Amino acid sequence: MTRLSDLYLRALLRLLPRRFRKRHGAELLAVTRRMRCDLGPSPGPAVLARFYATVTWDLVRHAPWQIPGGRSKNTVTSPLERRIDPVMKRPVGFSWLDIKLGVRMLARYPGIAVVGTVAIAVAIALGTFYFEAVNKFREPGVSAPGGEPLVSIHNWDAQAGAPEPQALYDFRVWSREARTVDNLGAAHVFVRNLATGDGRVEPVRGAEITAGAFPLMGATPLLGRTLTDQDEDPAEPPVVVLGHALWKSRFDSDPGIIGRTVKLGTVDATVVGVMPEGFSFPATQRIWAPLRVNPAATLPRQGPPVAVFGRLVPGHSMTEARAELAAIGERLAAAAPATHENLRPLLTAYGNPLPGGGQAQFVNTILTVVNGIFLALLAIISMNVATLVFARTAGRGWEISVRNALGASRTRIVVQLFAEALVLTGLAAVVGLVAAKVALTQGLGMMQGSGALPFWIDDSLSWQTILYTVVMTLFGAAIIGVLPALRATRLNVQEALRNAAAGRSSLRFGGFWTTVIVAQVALTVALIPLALNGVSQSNRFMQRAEGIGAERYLAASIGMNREDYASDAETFNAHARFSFEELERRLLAEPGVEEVAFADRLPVEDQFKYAIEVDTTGGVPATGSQTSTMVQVSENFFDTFGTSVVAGRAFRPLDFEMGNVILVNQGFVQHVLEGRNAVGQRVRIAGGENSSLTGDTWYEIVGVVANFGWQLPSPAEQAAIYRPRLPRADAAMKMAVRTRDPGSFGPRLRAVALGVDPRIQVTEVQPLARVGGGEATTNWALTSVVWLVCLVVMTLSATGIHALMAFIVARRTREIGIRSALGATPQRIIRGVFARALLQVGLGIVAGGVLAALIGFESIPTLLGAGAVMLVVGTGACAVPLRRALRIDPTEALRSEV
Amino acid sequence: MKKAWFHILLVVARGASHGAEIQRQTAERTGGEVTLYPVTLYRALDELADAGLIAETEAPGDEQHNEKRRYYLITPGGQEALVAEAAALEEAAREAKAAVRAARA
Repeated sequence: MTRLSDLYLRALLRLLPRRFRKRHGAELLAVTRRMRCDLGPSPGPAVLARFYATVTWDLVRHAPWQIPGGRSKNTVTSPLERRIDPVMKRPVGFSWLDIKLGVRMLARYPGIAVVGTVAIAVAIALGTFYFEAVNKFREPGVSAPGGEPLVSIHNWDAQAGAPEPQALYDFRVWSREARTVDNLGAAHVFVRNLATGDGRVEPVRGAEITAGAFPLMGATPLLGRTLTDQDEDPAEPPVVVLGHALWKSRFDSDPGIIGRTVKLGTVDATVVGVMPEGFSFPATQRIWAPLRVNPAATLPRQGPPVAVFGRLVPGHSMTEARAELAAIGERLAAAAPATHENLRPLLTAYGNPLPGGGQAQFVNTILTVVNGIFLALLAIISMNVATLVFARTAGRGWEISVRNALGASRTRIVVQLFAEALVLTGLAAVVGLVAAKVALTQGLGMMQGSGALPFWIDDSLSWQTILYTVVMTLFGAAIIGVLPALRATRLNVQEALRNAAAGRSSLRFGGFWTTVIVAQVALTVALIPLALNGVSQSNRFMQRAEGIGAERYLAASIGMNREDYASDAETFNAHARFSFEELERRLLAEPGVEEVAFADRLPVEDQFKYAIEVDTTGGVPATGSQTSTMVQVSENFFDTFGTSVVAGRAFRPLDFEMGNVILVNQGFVQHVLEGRNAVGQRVRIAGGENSSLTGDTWYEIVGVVANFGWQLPSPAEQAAIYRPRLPRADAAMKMAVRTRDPGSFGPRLRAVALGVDPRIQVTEVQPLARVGGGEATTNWALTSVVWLVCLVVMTLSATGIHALMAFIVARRTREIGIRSALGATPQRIIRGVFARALLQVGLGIVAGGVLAALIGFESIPTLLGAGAVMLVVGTGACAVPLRRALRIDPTEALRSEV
Repeated sequence: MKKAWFHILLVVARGASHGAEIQRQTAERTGGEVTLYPVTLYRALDELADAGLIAETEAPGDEQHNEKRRYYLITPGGQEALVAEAAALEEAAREAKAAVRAARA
């Protein structure tokens, strides 16, 4: 006999009680082997299949319910007792046999097994994915190679409520005085243009970093060397170390790269080393240069912004390190109150976001709430599955009653039903974990494509996440197993046995289960509009570039890197303004380029919303919408996108200096001003995305432009304000170039920018028609998840209603028979039996409508549609039990009860 | 009496025997009509032992080497049960023959 079939038989044997197995296992296997040999040396597949099927059936039909645990001498066992599984007689507790029974129950009710497993798996996968993703970004737990935790030290400005990034002075003090944190290092991260000999110019993320960071991370170079303390001396020639990805993509993994010169920003530097794959310290960096600012010469709150990091000295806790740094901070504040009165060193685990602050608390609240939503989803789905399990448990009323009568405690039965549920949720947890892992790998893979992921983010599942999944599994099993078990075992034993003998079940679908079914119908009805909304969003993403001819534009993000912190910010900004103007001039001189415009958001991108206030002092009524989008644009923005001023005037150069006038679109006139004349009215920005724009300033409307370039979900959202702004170095900015061939102009754009100023960074270069692709993908993924959940909940609703109705029909067979015999019409029977299901569906639809309205979906046709879908699903679920009820033969029904 | 019980009792009535042998002899005697599948067989052995109809016994001298096998021998109670079952079967057979004869006559 083959090894495989031996393994199979051994696995099957595990289903039998241990005592029986120990007593007869070896002989049983030997007999089976001999029977297999008797089939001949090469029996046909049909013969073999029949043999194994018969042997399997022989084993399964005797497994545990039927076999007494073994012979007990000197005790008399009644036939009835022999039918009861031995688990019952054990003390309360969990046993392997409980689990085996659970497996058998799954096999016996494959419908519940499949629907339940898929539904729970979806809920667990969502919860697990979310938990892991949040933890990866919030508490990554980065450690040094020796396992000691890495820490970040921020200089928290209590007055500003934000960290003070210019912390080189403090870094020097902390390095000298701290005993609980060692190997302190600092890094100034940047994005600079990297120009190579082949004429390619691309911005790369890098860091000016202290040499100690490399040994701190235990990193040894793949080629050449890492940075040294000597490199930090400004008198030494400039050097850089390349990251693996950069070396591979920009230098074709050239083994002779060491010693070559590259231009990083404005500096020609020699490549001295290449780091191995995976090294991108401090987070996502691809190139490293020495931090060449002598901390001793840096004054407090001066110099480049730096991130300070170090290693927690073994034997010290985070609390001790925090206390020590707090003491150092207090000493500094006392010694230099002018600069340090409000500064406090703040220690966090490396990679964790900064604690404190209203926004951080807000984020924490949101994260907790979302976690709660996933748990609630799991609870609802579990309750739905519990409905199915309850219907099944009701069918097992006889078994439960007999066990009760024979002395099995209520706890014993509850534990066993919990174990059965645990098998189901355990299976679902495995499926859910695999799905979460796949989603994580795919999701991170998509993000990794842009190279924006910190090095500590990988697709592994942490032990905390596994633990969380285990908790969810137990939680789900508790709902699925314990609720039905408690209800099933609450019965009076004698009555239950009497009913069981008469073939009836004593269990009833009471108010609790009605509530569960109503809840699941409501959830489905509320989810359908959400899912539909996702689809309409997707359509909007696809259509939003319509109307402006987005295919004619090349879009890019543009910025300027301040490499030199010796000059002040004002000088730098003035320089930047000049550079951007020069860039615009040179681009317009390029063949094929028609227009160039700058703005903080381009037309196809999602726009920032602001709360606004219209000046009513001139007698203007305060009616109409109080929100509008706002875009800050350069002078020729409207010309570039081919729109025109329909009233008032366009921006003039002086407007860009004063900054107190705005243009609005026709949507604004229509929805905010309700058609009144806009020119001359004043608007204040009361709140919104960019806090620097909000305040008491009144902006005067000087002109009105046509609506363009943005398919908005509702007309009321089409109000837009345009504010004049020159391109600046200290704010995020986008650029649109109208050209004959946007697809191929990207490299030329970069080359022109490099020619103007090597510090200009041109990133995210892509045709305007493709901008927002990431948002569309995210929207698609979220919509898919909502649809999936919607589908799962709807399937559960249908199966739940089906189970309920089938159960009711089975329970009321006699009654239906009598009514039928007495001449009741099918309509009356349907009304009598199915009114309840329809009532539940109806209640659910109403509750779902209310829920959807509360979430913010007020579209009556959508809600009616969702209700209709649920009504069809609910009625469909009743169909099979309905047919069964109508086919009940009165004489048969009455006879079966005698 | 269960069919499996009857066939097992028939074999062990002739002398001590183990599971595999009981199965083989049953198949041989019934010309392959009755197959005692393993779990059915060992479960029935346990039940018969519980009911006191068979008892475990020492292995015959010449088969001492195989320690894994359990040997069973019929008990006086088992003999009684087997005889009673055989009598019932005889009675049933007589009745069946009489019924058929009556029907043909």
